[in-house]
Amino acid sequence: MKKTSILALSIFLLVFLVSAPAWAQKKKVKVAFALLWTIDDMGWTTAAYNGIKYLQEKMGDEVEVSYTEKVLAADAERVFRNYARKGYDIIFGTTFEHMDPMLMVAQDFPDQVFEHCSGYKTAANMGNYFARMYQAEYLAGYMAGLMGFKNVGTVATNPIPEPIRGINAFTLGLLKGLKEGGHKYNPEKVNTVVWLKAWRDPINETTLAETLISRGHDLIRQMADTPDSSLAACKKGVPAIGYGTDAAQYGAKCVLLSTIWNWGPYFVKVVKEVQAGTWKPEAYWAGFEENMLTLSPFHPSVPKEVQNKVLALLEKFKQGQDEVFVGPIYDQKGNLKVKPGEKLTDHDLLTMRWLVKGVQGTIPD
Amino acid sequence: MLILRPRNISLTKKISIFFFLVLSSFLIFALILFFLKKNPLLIYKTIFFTPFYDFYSFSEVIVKSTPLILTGFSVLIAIRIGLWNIGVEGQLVLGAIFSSIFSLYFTKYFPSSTHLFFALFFSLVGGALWSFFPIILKLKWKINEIISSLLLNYVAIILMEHLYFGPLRDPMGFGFPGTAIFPQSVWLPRLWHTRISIALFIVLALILLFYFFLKKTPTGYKIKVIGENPKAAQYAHFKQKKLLLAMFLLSGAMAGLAGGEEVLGIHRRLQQGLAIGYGYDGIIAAFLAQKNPLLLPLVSIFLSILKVGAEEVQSVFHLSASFTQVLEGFILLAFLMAKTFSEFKLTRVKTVKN
Repeated sequence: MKKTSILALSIFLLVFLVSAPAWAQKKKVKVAFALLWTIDDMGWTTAAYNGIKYLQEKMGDEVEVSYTEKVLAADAERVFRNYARKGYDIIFGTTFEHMDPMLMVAQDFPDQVFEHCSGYKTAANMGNYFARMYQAEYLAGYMAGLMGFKNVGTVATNPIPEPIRGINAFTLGLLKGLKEGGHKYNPEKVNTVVWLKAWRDPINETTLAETLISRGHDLIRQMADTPDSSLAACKKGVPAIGYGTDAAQYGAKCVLLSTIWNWGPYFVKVVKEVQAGTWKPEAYWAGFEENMLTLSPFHPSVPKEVQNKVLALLEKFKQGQDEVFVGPIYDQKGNLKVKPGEKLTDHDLLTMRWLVKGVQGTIPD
Repeated sequence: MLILRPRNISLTKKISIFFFLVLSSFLIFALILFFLKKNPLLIYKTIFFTPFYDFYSFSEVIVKSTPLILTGFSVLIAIRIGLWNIGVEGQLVLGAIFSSIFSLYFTKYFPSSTHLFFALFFSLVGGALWSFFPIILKLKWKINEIISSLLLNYVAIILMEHLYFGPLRDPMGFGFPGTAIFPQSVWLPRLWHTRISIALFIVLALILLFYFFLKKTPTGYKIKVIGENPKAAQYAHFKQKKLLLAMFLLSGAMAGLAGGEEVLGIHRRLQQGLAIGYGYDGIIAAFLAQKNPLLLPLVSIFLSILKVGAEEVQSVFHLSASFTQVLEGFILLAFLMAKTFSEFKLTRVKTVKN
């Protein structure tokens, strides 16, 4: 009797001593990222990688981070499954094509958390997230309008709702800026759009930007992940606006402003929620108000008063006042799409397949 | 100056040349890793041991190698009769498109037990159709099949993009490119709780069949003669055109099957990220297998170990994703050299000055 109780006590003590340090410390959260391309791609994946670095800085020893580059659709399921089997607590899929493979893996590993960027499917342990880039587009357009650019050429990516929304927001901002700045303009044609039909295509980005410049457009709006259309504009002496990451950092010195994905704070938020056990799957779509986006520093040639006006509008976004798609808004044919005072719903925005008045160009099928 | 002279050496010598050169490519690469301040031994260990860590890990290598075996098989079939099919990538895409269209729109007209069969069958048809154009151009007007089949790759990819951006786009997909998910009845069944699908066994059976077809049948013999000595074939009055046509269509059909296997087994929809170069990797696999269909699965598995192992290296050692491609290039070069030196000898000849 006595022997067994001593034995039990000593086992208990042993277990306690071994596990006590683990209690004292917070559990280290293992986080994995599947990336679309290489971390130095100057665009989408660089933006994600900047977020990863931010996460490591903020959380330090509390996280253990791993990532895999060039995870294309054909390999995505293997990469996710591998991380899940290794016991990663949170797995991020950072591009659209990761959605379905992730969903499949998430169902087999119900105790781990999955987060997917830019899609629309969720599950009990899988959430998705995205940034309201159109807010930043609106600001960039507003700045261009205030400065009097009335014949912008946009090198757009894929003809799907996300870029279409961006083009519309940019054009609405541009029109607002032109009006406030008292500039004369043609209300039918302030922003001409050409399509890459790809997310990145450095050769065509350059060619299309050069074509737009030779047709006399006064500002190039880069929308691809890579800064090549801005670089082409700089070479020809035409200003440009960067997209996704700060194009000026990659040699496009003529860039007036870049709109930047800012994923870091969201990564930190998810890790903290998982640590605290409060994480719930949701379709998270936020903008400046949640710090999901930032703007680069202005180019010195942007007048101070323009900068101040843009920053004042930015402040409104930060406080959650998002009035980009408030009517009256007309489409290219002049039909009233949004009645005065009404606002487009998120569902309308996510399925947007029409262009606002002021955009020249069509949505190819 | 240095010239190459033909020579005959024993098999053991050939094999030792091969191992020496492949080993040296690993040594050179190790040097690069060393300068990057990474431990090459640890990295090689990770590449070559992780796939054998457990059955699941190895199953992933098999999964990765399945399309590669098929595209390699496709290239190899054409090579055996003396043709170069560089259009495997495009034929793969067409196979995937045909499979997808059937899976999305026509399954309702057939009983569900036949869906998978038809979906795979149409991938064969799609691939064969895309290989029909280059071979008919070759047979009718002697247009080089290397060029025409290569150029058709780009046409196929643009066609596919048009389809999933346009008419085939998932109506419920928020405008994202890509078709809807296929009905479950066309998904390739997966085995043993891994992602290995029955496609693997179909592929291996086809390869065995082809091997015995070449070896045991008169037609197989004719094919070998045409491939290795077209003049002799002409002299023997073989019906060359028919066989060239049939073999090239078969080659295309196998490429198409690779596409079908990818969409039905891995993606389960048609979307971006299908045409990622399996067609071109197939050329490498066929070349490394030295036209021998039985070696093809082994070579493909070796290449897949490199690819899958490299992913592990990436996530553990934070090496760039491009580094496997460098290693692959080294190994291929070493192999080329080994092949050359086992047939030729490098000799120094004195040049006589006048």
